[in-house]
Amino acid sequence: MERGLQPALVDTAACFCRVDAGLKTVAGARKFVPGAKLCVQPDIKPSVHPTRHRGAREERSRNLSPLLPGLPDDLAIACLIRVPRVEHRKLRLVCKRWYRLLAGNFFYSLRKSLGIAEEWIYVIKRDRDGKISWHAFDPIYQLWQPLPPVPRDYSEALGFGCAVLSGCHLYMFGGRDPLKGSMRRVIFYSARTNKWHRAPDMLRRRHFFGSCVINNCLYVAGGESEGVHRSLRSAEVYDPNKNRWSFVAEMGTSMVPFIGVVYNGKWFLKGLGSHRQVLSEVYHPDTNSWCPVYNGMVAGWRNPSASFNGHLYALDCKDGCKLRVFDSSTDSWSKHIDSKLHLGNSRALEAAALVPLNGKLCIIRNNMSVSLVDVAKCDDPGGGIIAEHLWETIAGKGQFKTFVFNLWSSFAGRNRLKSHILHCQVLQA
Amino acid sequence: MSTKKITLLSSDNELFTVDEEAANQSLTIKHLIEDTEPENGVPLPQVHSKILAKVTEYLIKHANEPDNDAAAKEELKNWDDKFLEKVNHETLFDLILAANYLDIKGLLDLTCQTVADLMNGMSVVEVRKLFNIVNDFTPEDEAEVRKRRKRGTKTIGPSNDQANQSNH
Repeated sequence: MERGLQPALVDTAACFCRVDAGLKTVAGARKFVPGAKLCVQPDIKPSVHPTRHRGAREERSRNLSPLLPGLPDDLAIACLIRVPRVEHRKLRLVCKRWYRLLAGNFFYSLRKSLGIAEEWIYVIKRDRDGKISWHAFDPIYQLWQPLPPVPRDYSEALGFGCAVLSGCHLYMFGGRDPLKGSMRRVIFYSARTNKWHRAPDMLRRRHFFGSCVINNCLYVAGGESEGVHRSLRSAEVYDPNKNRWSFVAEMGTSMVPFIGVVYNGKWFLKGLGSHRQVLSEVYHPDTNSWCPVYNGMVAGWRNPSASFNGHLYALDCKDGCKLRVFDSSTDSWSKHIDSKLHLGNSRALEAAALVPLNGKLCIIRNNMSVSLVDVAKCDDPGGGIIAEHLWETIAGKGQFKTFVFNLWSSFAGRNRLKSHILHCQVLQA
Repeated sequence: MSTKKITLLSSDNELFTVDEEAANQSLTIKHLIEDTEPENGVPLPQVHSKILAKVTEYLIKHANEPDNDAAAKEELKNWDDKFLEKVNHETLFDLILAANYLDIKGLLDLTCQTVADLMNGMSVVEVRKLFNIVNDFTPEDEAEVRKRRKRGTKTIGPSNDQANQSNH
């Protein structure tokens, strides 16, 4: 094949919004520019001086060796994006160009647009010594993956929030540092670059607050702060496109939330008021207003819970062997899905989180065992159904010990009972 | 069903005959036929006969893709796996270039995936060797990466480097 017709080399260091201009082959252009908006990474801006830098870049890219000798770069990229995520850490070490390609938004937005981005589970836990650690689990290869350590600000924080924006950014925000007290700090980890970054601080210092994500905006509300008024009524929102926090309507009463979920586009929060009474409020983002709520949903609502495909799920048994489903027609948690396989009542076996993963519902227990429940396959849980076939264990305790690195054996072993999971999230890359 | 035959002419003037239905999987060939109605075969000066033989084999096999037949799909998948099993990576690259030029989506996906799968379970050095890639990291770069990885896997908690990075 004629090599003279090579497309312009893709400069992976260039602005991620423009790089599609480098895809000149017919199939390449059709394949890789599915819509006008390739850049799904709004907060990474093009260079401030694009014209000045562009010349230098083009000069440099002409001298670059190809990504895969023998293939034009767009076809090399078509190959490389198909390599499973578990191998990416290795590919970054092959050469500088691969390193830059695999740490960039261009590469990962292509994977996303082609539907081959993979979801990993991220578990944030407090170890026996009070330190925060975190671990990623690849559910396809069933391997635990090492991660860069949690930044010092959060290494011992209490009551901080954790959420995912844009599918690939894991945010940690607020919380109380044992020395510095309540924090406004916001940091995020990008699953694309495998690095931690700073984001603008929140407007209020707070810990033990509620948080959620609606339309890729991060909401926080209530919680505590050091000072005279210990519980907070205030709520604020962070929009990653604007890269700015702003206040939203205050809650009806101050609250320290202990459970929250987004269901039907509204944010439900249940917590303790200033007189230790249990309160529930719901936030309507469209009208920017809070209302007290007393229905059957909040009455029977327990942690952990998750909203998935328009249904609301919670655990009916602490070890995650049985699920409850909220039935809006009867306004009660009357439906059940039962695996009939009770594991036990110890703290280690307690399910700490319920998260949607690859179209299934994922249960993560304190001993780091992970089960998937294919809830989509039981659309008609009329009262209570026995459905052990829907449960699938993808990471058992034993497996964890086998695969995991030395450092983790400390909590997988005798210390397991003392460590516990604080947050679980799913990041795509 | 049309059984019209199409003749393809490789860069080294070898002729390949396939059903029109099979040939139409290549959008490039389809457009060439529509536009020029060539009489002495569709000229494909960018594709060597060695590669075109492989491509036509694929086109013929995939001419009637099964829609709902799970067993037939499975059989086709197995065929695909075998099709590229003993192909070396240079030929694979030539197939990718041909699939791209001829605009055959299925073949392009298959060949790209095969290249990606080659790297599974390989070490960094093996990947470099296979694809003839020069390691352009300086020893300092590598030491830095190694240091970072060591910290990432063995240290729980903070490090100065991470704190600096977060000031992004």
